[in-house]
Amino acid sequence: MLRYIIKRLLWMIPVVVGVVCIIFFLSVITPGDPVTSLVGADAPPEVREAMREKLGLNDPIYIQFVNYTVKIITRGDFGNSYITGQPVFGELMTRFPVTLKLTIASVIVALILSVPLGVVSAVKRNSWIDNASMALSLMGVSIPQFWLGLMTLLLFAVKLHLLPASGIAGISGWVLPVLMIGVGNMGNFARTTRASMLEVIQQDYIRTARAKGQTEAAVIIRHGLRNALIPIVANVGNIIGISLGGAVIAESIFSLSGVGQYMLNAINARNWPSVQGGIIMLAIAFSIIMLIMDLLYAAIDPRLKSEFRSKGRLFAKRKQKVA
Amino acid sequence: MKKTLAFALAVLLIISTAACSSAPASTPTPSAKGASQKLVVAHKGDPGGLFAQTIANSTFNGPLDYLLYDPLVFYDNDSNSFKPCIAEKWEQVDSTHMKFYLRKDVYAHDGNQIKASDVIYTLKTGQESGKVASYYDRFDLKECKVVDDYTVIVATKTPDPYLFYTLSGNALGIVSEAAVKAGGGPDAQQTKPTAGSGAYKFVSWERGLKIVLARNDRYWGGKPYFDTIEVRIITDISARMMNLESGDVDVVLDPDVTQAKALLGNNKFKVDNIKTIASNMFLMNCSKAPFNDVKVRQAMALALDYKSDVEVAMKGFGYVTDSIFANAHPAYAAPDGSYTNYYHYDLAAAKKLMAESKYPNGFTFTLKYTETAVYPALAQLMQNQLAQIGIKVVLAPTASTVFYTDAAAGNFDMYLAAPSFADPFSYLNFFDGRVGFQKANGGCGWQGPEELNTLIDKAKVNMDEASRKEMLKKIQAIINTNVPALVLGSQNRVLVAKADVQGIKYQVNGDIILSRAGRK
Repeated sequence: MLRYIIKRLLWMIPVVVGVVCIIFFLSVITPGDPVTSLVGADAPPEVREAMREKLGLNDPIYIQFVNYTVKIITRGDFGNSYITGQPVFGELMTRFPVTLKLTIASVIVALILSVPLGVVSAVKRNSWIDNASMALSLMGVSIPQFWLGLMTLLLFAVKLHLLPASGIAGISGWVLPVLMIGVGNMGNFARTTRASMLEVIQQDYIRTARAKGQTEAAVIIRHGLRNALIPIVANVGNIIGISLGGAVIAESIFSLSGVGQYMLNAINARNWPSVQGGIIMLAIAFSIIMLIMDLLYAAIDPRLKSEFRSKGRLFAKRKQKVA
Repeated sequence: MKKTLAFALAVLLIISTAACSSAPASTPTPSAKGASQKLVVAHKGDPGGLFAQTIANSTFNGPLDYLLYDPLVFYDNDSNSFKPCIAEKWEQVDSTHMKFYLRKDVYAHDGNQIKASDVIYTLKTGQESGKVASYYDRFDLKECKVVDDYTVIVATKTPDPYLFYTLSGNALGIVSEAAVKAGGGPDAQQTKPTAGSGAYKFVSWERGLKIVLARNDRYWGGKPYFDTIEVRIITDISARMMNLESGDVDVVLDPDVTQAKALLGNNKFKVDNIKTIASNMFLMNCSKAPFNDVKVRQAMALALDYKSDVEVAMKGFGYVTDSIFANAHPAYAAPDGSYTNYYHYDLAAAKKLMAESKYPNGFTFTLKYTETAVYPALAQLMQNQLAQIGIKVVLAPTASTVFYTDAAAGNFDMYLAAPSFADPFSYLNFFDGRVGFQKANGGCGWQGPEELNTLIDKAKVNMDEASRKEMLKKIQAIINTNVPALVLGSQNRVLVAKADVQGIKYQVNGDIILSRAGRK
């Protein structure tokens, strides 16, 4: 298992290098001049030129790329923001916890709401409960997030005065943004859970468990749900990855200082160090999350655990042969 | 499936109805009730920095600058005149020199006294940075002199009839040299300003979240009303308004005009609707076809339905303009019938001119604009109306950095902007063929007649108001006749606040001044 984890962690290096290459060269070919953001549209040519020189934008592209990559690898330095002059890494680290908390909380809320919904839906297939829960999940998937965010804001903050309209000073400030993202994800998870459960509950081992006289709850939860969890876990990984970069709408509406908002502003200002740093950080975070998800598969499914072990043994045998 | 859909639709309907019911917001939230000495302002974005003297992109700076810094003079929109601020009086020495007498009780936020040398330091710092050239380039630093600690002579390179408009601008807040140096220099002041002498001083800035300011107890103008002012960054335009309606914020800057209109007549809120000097200008690239054909330009001007466009795009928060200067601009001269003015709607005349032009069958061009304010709506309206005379407009919303670079390089067919220079000669750079795209950072590339150049040169240095106005009238007549740009209304400065907030002032260009605000 440890060998597998190390191998996966090592695989992140080429992934990050690939991301660095793509993002760097995309930023080079994208139209727009960051110098305009920094010195203004009416700055004299000599001021613009001095700024270009200071930022190293007059160097050949390959020199800029090498300098940039070397700084990341040797010092973990993403450079300084063109706008604030502050290190990008520091700026990202102050925002990343907000986005991470928002993402994780919304996924947890979505799972708490959706898994029971999906299970009940599958077990009571074609009943009114199934129809109602699938209608809810259909809504969750199809309602645009910005609409839901604004409507919940209008209802709970403006009309009912139950929750704050912006900011995350207390737990109450998190409720609406988490709900906004969570409801969308809930629909997705509920539909996956239902489909997966429907497949599982028709398996022979479920019939066997019932024949053994186990209670229906035990059959559904212990034998059914556990086996149905694998596609849900795979989905969770994807959704967390997407939400990390895609929480920008919630961050805009509820005035949260997260990575999405930061990167959106950076893109508009052609603030390339911030854009590049943000994407690299998200790529690393996504890789780590996918690794955790893979490890969770093994924890859930004994077949996968034994596969990891057998791969490890196979690897050891090969090494012995070579020796 | 039908049952599922029906249930989903029913739930959606309930949510929408509950959220959108038209009952006005009831009581304020407890937090709003208990915070009478705190003003919460919803702003659309972080400022580029908090040292306006050396910051280029000051789109989001205005309201903050006027809280942190005081300029030499203050524009009073009630009386449309300039009032003393850091300078308690002034006198004209000659056409390029102005003597200012400073108050003796002005202190920077770090405790250093503001003296005459600080005025020169401010001008020098601004000019050397080159980032606010339209403000600072006019000063002749070699001629600026300290007379004594509280008297300073400010010199300009040429006679400058509009000097006070510049001096009262947000980028001209006077800073203490000692405070700037003690605070780590201009760059450090961008994030932790200490050198201004404004009514409120900096406390903290959480980027993307909020900026907190506290009352400056040593303020020369008396004790400011609020203990603290919190400028909350809320980028979503609808969310800003909802924060006001929920009682979470007191003032909304740059509200959605449709939502602002809905609050008119609601006694819990007030809607300020202030005319500005900024025209929405569609600048044509007259250096190339088809815009080098004057008949095409005139036909386009006649094809626009100004009145209805302004109403549709600005929802009553704007006014129709009929000259290159907006009607509220100090240089505006109303067309008096002595020349043909094309800034009015006459579709038949537009079609006739198009038929007489080199492009009777029309043409296609690209319109560049940034997706802010009313620009997208104006662009679409123009697209529809020019189609009536056979002109196809390709809309190209453009990121601001690309937009300004392209404008300065002359890389456009037409672009939309709303400059708000109080100094008319900054505007006229756009129409002065000798200046060029690069130096004017855009413009029309239009080569006007020699008479225009002569008039601009003379008016620029003419300190006599009456004859200068006469020259500006002739300048407008020449430009309006040749239509190098289309002007489509001027958008008012709109601000929405709780009804008890009072004392909000406005700069001549529409910038908001909150430093004198309080509650009833």
